[in-house]
Amino acid sequence: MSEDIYGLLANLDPVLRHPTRFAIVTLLLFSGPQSEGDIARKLRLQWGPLTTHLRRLREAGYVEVRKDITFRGPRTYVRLTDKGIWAYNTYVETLNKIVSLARRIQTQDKCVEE
Amino acid sequence: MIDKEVLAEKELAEITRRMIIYRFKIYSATTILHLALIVTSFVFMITYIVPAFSSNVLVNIIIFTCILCVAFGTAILMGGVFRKSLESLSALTRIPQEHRQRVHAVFTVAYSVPILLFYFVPPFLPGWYSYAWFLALIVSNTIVYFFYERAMNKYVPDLKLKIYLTWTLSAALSTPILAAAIIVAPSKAWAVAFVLYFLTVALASLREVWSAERIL
Repeated sequence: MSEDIYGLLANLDPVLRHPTRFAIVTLLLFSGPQSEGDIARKLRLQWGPLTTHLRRLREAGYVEVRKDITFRGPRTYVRLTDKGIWAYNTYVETLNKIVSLARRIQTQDKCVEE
Repeated sequence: MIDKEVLAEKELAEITRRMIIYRFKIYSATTILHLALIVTSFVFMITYIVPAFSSNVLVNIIIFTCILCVAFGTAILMGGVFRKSLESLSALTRIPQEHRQRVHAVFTVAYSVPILLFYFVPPFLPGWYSYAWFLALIVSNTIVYFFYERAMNKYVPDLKLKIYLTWTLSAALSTPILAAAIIVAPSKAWAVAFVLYFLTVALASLREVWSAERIL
């Protein structure tokens, strides 16, 4: 059973496996399209790491970036794509499987100890 | 056995899911309450307040248009906010695209066909046209319950949306009050219908807000 967990952990999407990228995708899913500035402010990120993570997400096809002229000047908006939504849901399903498997193993271990 | 990062991500995903469901329920509740407030206050304002200000028809038309613009503007804004919350709920829970498309059709048909039918029926009660919409709304909400609310609950079992069911049941249960008003004072039955409409919507909204609080 523990091999299953390691198998699932190994199969986790490497793009979303990073906590910052996971947080960015979660924010976009909850709040809809956001400007880069809003993402940086809400997740308390520096511009450098944010740009790197957004590039990685864009390369994977999980987000789309669009430049807009607003009343407050030019803004770069980031939007989650259908592929990104699918990847997020699959990733969360795998996480749930991993945690429930781990809990089952813990319960079995306790029973054996007793 | 599993690192804290995996657990933290799982927790974040779970909280996000709950927050999206919570937000959807709150927006559903506030949207219909807001619309009911707009409709009811608009009608009472036009009937009682505006004529008291001026007897000039042009002034009345200007005031009427201003109120209508504010009412429509707010309604459009609420609709937009509600749509956004539906989109994130759909993304999270994989509600099929055809269901999302069907939502518009269900609402359009539900809030037009019964109302048209009730107004095509020859009036068989005194002052029928002034309160027929209230009876038509009961039918409309029943349609919305069967084709929208139940489907949503099927796709997202922990959503437990019951706003249209509560509204339909409370409106149906309040019809004896309307019937009494029709018998006692047919000329004031419309006002009773509006008050009942607002109260039943408020009840359904409050129940939904209470149910949303239990999700967090």
